[in-house]
Formats: sequence, C-alpha cells, structure tokens
Amino acid sequence: MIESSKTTDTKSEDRFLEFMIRDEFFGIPLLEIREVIGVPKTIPIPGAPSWYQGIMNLRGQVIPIIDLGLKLGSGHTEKTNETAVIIVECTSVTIGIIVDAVKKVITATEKTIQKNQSQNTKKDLKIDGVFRNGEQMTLILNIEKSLNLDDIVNATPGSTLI
Amino acid sequence: MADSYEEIIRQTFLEEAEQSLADIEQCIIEIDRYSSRKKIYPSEISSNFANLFRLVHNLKGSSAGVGFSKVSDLSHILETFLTTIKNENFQISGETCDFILECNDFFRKMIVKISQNPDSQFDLKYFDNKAEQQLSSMKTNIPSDNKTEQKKEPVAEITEQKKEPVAEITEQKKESVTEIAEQKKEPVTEIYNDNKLSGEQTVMTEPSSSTAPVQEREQLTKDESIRVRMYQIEQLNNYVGEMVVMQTVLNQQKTELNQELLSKVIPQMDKTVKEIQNLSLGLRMIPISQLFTKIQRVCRDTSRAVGKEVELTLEGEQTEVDKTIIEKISDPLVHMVRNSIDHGLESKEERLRIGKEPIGHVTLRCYHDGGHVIIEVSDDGAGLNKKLIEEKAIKNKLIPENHNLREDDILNLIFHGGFSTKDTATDVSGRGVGMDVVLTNIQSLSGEIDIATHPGKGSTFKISVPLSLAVIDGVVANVNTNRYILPMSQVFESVKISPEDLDKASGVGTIFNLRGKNIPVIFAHEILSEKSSSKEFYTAVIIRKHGFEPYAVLVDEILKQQQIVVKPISKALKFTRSLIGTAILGDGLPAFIIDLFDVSQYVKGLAKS
Repeated sequence: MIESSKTTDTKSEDRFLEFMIRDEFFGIPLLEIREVIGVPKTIPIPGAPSWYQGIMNLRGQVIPIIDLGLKLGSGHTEKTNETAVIIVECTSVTIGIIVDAVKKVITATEKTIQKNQSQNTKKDLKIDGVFRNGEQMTLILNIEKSLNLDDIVNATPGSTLI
Repeated sequence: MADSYEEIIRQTFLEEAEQSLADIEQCIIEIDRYSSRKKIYPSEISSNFANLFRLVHNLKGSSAGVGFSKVSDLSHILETFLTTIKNENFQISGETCDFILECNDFFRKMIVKISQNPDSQFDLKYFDNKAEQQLSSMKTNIPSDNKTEQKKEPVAEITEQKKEPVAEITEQKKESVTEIAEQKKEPVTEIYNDNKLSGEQTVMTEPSSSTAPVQEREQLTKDESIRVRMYQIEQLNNYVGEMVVMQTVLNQQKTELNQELLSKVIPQMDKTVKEIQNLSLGLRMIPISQLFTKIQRVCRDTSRAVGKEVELTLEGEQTEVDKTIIEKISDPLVHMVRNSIDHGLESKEERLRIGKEPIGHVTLRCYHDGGHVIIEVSDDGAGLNKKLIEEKAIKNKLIPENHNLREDDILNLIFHGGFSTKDTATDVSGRGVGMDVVLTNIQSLSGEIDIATHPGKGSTFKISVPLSLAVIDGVVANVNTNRYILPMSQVFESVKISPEDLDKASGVGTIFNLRGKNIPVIFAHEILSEKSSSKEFYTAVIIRKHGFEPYAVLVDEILKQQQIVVKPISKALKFTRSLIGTAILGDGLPAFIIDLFDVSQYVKGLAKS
C-alpha cells in the first residue's frame, strides 16, 4: 500500500500520447515527442518509398514526414480536419508522422501495459505492449522498429527501402 | 553529484589538453626551427623554451588535479628533462626536439585513450629511459672548441636571464599547490586567500619584465573567448536563416502595407537582420593557423625522413575559414606538402649542382578572394615533369599512345587513382593513392584545384574552396512543379533549347549539339524520379566535371539565382542519390540541392576525357 502513494504522482516516462490511425488506437511515449502540428505543405523526396510524404520546414529545420498508415499497410492517409503531424525525436533523427487524429495523453505504468501480445497481424507493426482501458485497446508503438530506422540511417545512397 | 562534477572537470581538462598539446608542439617546432639554422636566434629560443616549460608545467598540474596520474607522470618526466637542459645549459639539438615531439604524440594518444576509458593504463618506462639517455648524450656532446663555445655563450646567458623568473614563479606556484594540498580540510575561502597572497607576492617580488607579460597574456586569452558547442552555432544559424526568410516576406509586403511606421522600421530591421546573419555565419569561422601548425610538424617530419633541408614559409595564418572546411582540407594539405617536399624539391646535392640554394623552400599561403578561400602550396623545386607523367600514363594505360591531350590535361593526370611517377613507394609518398583522394576531398567541398608549374623553378598547387559551406550561390530551377537548387559552382553555362534540338543516338542515349559539339544529356526528371512531361522548351545546364567530357542536365526552366543557406540532409534520407543537402527558399518551402557532379554516373554515353 505504500506503493500506491507513489503511483499517483505520475512519472513522465509513464505518459503516452494517444492517437488514431484509421480505427485503431496507438500510443507513443510523451518523452519522444517534440510537438504536434497541423499537416504542413511538403515537397516530394526523389527516389523515396511511397510512405515518405515529403520534407517540410519546421522553423528552419528540414524534417522528413512519414505517412505511418501507409507504412503499416492501412493505405494512404486522407487529410481531414483532425489529421495531424507528430514530430518525434528518435535517438538518431527527428521525423514527423502523419496520423488521422491525436486523442489524449494517457498514463500507463509498466504494470498496466501487457507485453508480448502476439495478435500482431501487420508486417511492419512493432509494439512494445498493449494498454487496455475498459473496452478500448491502445497499442504502444515502437516507432524506431516500425520504421526500421536502424536500416534507414545506415542506408547507402540509391538503396531501395522496403 | 560528486561524480558528475568530477566528470565535468575531467571533460574540460580533456578539451583544454588538446589546445595545450598543440601549443607545446608549436613551441618545439619554433625552437627546432631557430636552433637548426646557422645563425642562432637566442632570444626566440629562450622565449619559446620558457613558454614550453610553462605549458608542460601547467599540464602536469591540471592533469594531476583531475586524477589522470599517467599524464601528469609523463609531464613530470618531461619537466625534469627540460629543467636539466636549462640548468646544465645543454644545447638543444634536433634529437632533443624529436624526443619532446615523441612525448607530445604520446600525450595525444593518452588523451584519446583516456577520453574513451578514463582508467586506461600506460607504460612510461620508455620515456623515462630515453630522457636519461638523451641527457647523458648531451652531457658528453658538450663541444669544447672555441668556435661553438662562442656561439653557445649568448644563448646560455640570455636563457639564464629570461628563465630565472619563470623558475621562481614555478617554485612559488608549487608552494601554493602544496599548501592547498596540506590545507585540504580547511574552508575554501582560505585556500583562495592563500592563492591570492602568493600571487601578490609574485607580482611584488618579481615585477621584472618577462613575468608580467606572461601573466597578462594568460589573463587576456581567458577573457577573449568562450567555448561554444558546434551544435549551438548550427541551431543559431538555423533560426537566423529562418529570420532572414521572414524578413524577406516583410520586405516584399512593405509597399502594400502603406503604414508609415512599418515602412520605416522594416528597412532598419532589414539591416539589423543582415548584420546578425553575417555575425552568426562568422561564428563557424576560425583562423587557419591551427592547421598551419600541424603542417609545420608534417614538414619537419617529412624533411627529416627524406633527408632534405626545407624552410617552410607561412602566409596569411590569420585568414578565417569555415571549421568544416578546415577539417576536410587538412588531409589533402598534409598530402600536398609531403608531395612538394618528396617529389617537388630536389636533393641537396642536386640543388647545389644546378646552382640553387641548398635549402628548399615550401610556401603555404592562405587568403580570401571574393567568395572563396584560396590555399596555395608552392615549392621552388624541379617542377612537374610533363614528359615523365605522359610516359607513365601511357605505360599504365591511362591514356592511349597517340593521345592529343593539351599540356594542362597531361598535368591533371596526376589526379588519377593509382598514378605515381616514383618507381618505388616510400613511407612518404609514391603509392599513387593520394592526389585522387585530394581531388575528391576538395570537390566534396565544391572546390577546385589548379596546378602551375615551371620546369626547374617549382610548382604551385592552388586550392580554391567556397568561403563557407553554410552559404552557397545557387540556381533555383523548376522540374515539373517542384523546385530544385543547383550549386552555382557546378554550373558551367546554361542554354535554352527546344525538344527538336535533341537527338537520339543509338547506344549513347540522348545528345544535343552545342556549338558543333555533341553533348550527352540526361533529363533531370529521370534522376529525380519525377514524372516526364513534354515541354516547349528546356534549359540545358552544361557541366564540366574534372576528368569527364562536358555533359548536360535538362531542367524545365531556371527561375533565379540566389544565396542559399545549406542544411545537411536528414539522416532519414540517406538512401537518396545525387543530393547534397536541403535549403529553405524565400517562401519558406524547402528544396533539395542537386549534386550535378554526382549525376555524371547516370549519363549514358559520357566519355572520360
């Protein structure tokens, strides 16, 4: 019971930003997120895979934007009033990901996240666990693995990415 | 907390040590330069010796302070070595300098190892023994004939005079250090008092001329600069670049706004913004002197290795150059200076035979010329042997026997990989890897290299690179609906052509006729994976890349020419081809910068020249 007093003041590591791609809920650690913006005007990238939407200018910094839905096999993301871009700071790069809607900030401790869920049907979807809130299921997304960032930052010019 | 504090001071030490070692090296090279000449410059030697002593002593103190005992042990060995030389009035020979340089190199190695792993261990026995050997050989080598004695006398005297105070200060500093050590448990303020006291004493008891400047200088350099992380400067440049873009928008709007106050403020603001931009871009610039010091060392080592006496002259050491350029140009320059000494200069005997001064001269010159930095390496040696280069190239099948190359083109053959006129490879040069690397490095900086050579009189290699990598002159061009930037330095000329001017030749792809010459072309949309679309007119951008026949890249039209702030390409876009970077255009949208030289690999039917 002593522990419960600790869990009430939430640590920032336990907070996630919840967003939607089509009808699924996803979460990424709040600490990895720099900001959330509307869909910017982008410039296409020569020779890039289709899920690269383009590059944008974020206050002087040129950042690649990725259509996460397309990458995860859910098809091209149509722009609506709710469509947003989350600027994610991964260990090696800063990228933007397009999502259908940003929902809320959720708190999920290690205890409430279920690991090793094997209901993973999508090829590129890499998750760190599942957070259940009543009926709703939020997949805690591992961005670096889902986008193969390791392969991307070590790519050689002209190589084809899958 | 204690850990992180310790870490911080260790980090600071490691950063500062680099500078100290560079300074130490500079001192030894100066001493070596002055003492190896016929005419001896006693005051220069002794002032450098005093500096050297002070630097080594400081290194000893600061390394002990952060607990890098091996660094301080080696400093101690070196310090004792120097003290003995001073006390016994030994003459400093080339071997002495070699030994000190060897120590300095080992310091560098230790610093690198320690920064990777603070607990690295080193064996210093070698240096201990070698110091002993050196000292004893110097003892036996004290010459007895009058001639040398006379020459040596003044050195000794002045050295004595000048060095006395240094030694005393050192003594006192040491005292205060031991005092501090003894009073470790006392409150901090007292330690400061002690320090101050001993400092005051120094000034009072030693108001002599040579101590004051040393201290003043130390004070000055501490006030003059602060360390800033490169990352912060890049960030600053990013934001300033953004500000410039917004300012441009304001400028365009000011006539429409029709507001008196705004129309006054905007032009003023414009000036200020430009000033800020110049300043912030200037932060990346550092004097080239740092690199020149390194070259001095290379020159010394090379001239010894090949047994030629060389006098190196440096000009324009204070010329400011972008830090990245200095880093990238360092290896090529080292290589070129080595080449000048090994290939360029004749041997001493040969020089005497043909009536030249026995000492060879190599000059390094750095200056600004318009938007470019020029670095010249010249020697007064034999000059490049065109005939030999031609023969070698034919022998190595680089060119056919019945070639009709111009003289310049023959000279440029030395930039081919695997080309060397030396028959045997030495430590110094002759492996034929080098000049091609030099060229690649310089081209990667959007630079050029020119050779001027006069048989019997020497050669000059002239490197020209843009003043700053952060800002380039760019051509904004349209391909379909997107804009791309072409580096001005890669564009030779541009011509407007209609599709009828294009011909398809079998096997070589598309060509067009420019003033009677067939030039292979590639459509920009092909390399940029843009859709093709038929146009009424194209603009052919003609490119002359070194070692290739001219080729052309077809864009839809050229929009304008402007200064471009280059931003490195995101790591997430490494797979892209033929792109050097990105930039933000006047309307705030980003655009890619195309590497037109890299495009050559996709041009069908492109012949090497």
